[in-house]
Amino acid sequence: VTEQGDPIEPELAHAGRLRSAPWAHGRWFGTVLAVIAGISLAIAVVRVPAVVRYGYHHVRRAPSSLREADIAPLGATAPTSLFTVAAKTIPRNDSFAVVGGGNDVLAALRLWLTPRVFEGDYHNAHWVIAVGDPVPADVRAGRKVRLAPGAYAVEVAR
Amino acid sequence: VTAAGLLSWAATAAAVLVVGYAVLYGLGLARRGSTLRYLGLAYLVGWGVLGALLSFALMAGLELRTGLVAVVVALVAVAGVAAARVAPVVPEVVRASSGGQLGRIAAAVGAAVIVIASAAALVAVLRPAWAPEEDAIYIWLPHAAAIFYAHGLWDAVIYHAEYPPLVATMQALSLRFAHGFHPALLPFGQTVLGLSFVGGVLALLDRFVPRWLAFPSIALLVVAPKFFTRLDSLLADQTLAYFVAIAAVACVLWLRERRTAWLVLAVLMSTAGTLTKWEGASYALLLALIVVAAAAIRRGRRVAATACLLFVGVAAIEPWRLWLGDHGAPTSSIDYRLSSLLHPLYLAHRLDRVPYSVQEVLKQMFSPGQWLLILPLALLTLVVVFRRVPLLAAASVVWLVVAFAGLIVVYWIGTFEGIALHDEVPFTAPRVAATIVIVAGVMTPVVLALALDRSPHRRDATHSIDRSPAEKAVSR
Repeated sequence: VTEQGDPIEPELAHAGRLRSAPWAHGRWFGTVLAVIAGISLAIAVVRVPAVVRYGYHHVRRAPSSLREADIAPLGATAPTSLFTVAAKTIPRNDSFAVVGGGNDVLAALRLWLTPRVFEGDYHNAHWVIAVGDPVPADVRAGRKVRLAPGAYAVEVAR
Repeated sequence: VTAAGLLSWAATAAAVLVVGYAVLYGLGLARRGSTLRYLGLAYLVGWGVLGALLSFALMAGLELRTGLVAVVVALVAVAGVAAARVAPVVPEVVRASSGGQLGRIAAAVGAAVIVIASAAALVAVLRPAWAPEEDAIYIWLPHAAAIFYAHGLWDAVIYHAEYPPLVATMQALSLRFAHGFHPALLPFGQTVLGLSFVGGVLALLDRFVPRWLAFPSIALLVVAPKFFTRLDSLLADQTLAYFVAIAAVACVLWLRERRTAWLVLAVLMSTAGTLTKWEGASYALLLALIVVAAAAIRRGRRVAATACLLFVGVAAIEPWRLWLGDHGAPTSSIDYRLSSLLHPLYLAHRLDRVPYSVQEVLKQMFSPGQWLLILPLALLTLVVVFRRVPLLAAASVVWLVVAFAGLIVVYWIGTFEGIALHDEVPFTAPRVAATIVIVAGVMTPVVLALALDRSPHRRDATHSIDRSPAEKAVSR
């Protein structure tokens, strides 16, 4: 019975009360149930070696240090030194802008350099990161640090 | 696992489990003797509830600091104990799985597959690493990083500022306990969350689904390539599927047993889903409408009115929309506008997007290389059981069709910031369609078990139920 004292919903109720062997419930329905359970089980068993291999290879391929593991995926967009050296170079309270490099590099830089504030307009930024492109001519360049081949961080002189 | 990783996860897990068990205890579940049984469900519920509460706290302007987390956890624990004094105990019921020797073997093999796959999933994330998924770099991790560094929600200039904050909040919490921005530590927690979902589903199914049916079905889901390889994903898509699926099973349990605990559990999971992704509100709305309709048909207005509590899960998006509006951010998804559906010319102009979207999404959902045979078996199940449990089958069909149609509508009217449809659909469909397939995979044994009970043979059969003394007492 329910909390309210009503009988449990008939269509949804009888589970748990009755014998549940599939073949005890009408031949065709029992057969279909057994087939569905059997197919599910067979496929699941066949997949086991693949998931075990996945776990094994995944853990073997993983970087050995936490620092490396944190930065490694960003290496798909640019050399990881671009991010690590930029993070060391630009103070956390400074803002930065990016020229060149494309959207993926920009997104990765914005992620890795947080909490430094990203400025869409390089005229307002403390630092300009140039990736592949030259530093804009109207930037009053101060200190210039090489981040990776073809990539520089330039402190804007005020 | 590094020391920082273990510490981070252990601290998060402790907070999550206290909240989860407090909620379940307050609902009359996870009482003496069944605490371990609900470990998975407690973790998932705790993760969702803590995430929702912390998200609301951040929306209110509070800062994500250890003190806030401690206060929230303590408040939930006190509320759980207080609720337990008035909430009736939900009796432990275990479905008698008398499927004979073959049935026991099927259950055992299914359980073994789940255990092996779970172990493999944990081994895969033992060493810190994270996958360079585009949306993780563009959206989810920047959101978590913003909360981690600023202790509060992000500003409106961040990419996709309108995304709900629950997942980012919980990831920021883990990072906070790790004392550093270490995205490589997050997949371990995500994997544990995924496995807790598996355990939670099994605990719920065990009440009314014979194990020879439940274990093989869930084993199939766990080893499905798209499910298994995305257990550690930092994107929110699979997390959303966990909440939606548990909410759906809880609704079935509520309709079946009429115990308030299940309805409240469904509301909590719908709320968590709503705060996980925008689609979460749509799924919560769809579930609420279907359950209200089903309750009205079967149980009358009074029960249908009670089912309206599910709309609370949908309304959970409103505080978030208020916060967005207050901070100058878009208050709905920037990828599409629902008002576009009111412009026939716009729709007609883009009608050619529909066939491609339908074809591509179906291809992804039915691909054996991604989801094995989960969806074909789910559809076969619905056909087979339609005469025995027409209402349940119809409700399942409506859910599947409307959820699928909703996805297609988004591709139809969506602009996706100028990204071409032929790039957008293959890129996103495998992820966003996951909820549909995962819910179908979980509901398949549910529907089959309920159809079993409609068997003409079974209505006259003798009873064989493993009941706790408490259940017997309630029945008497």
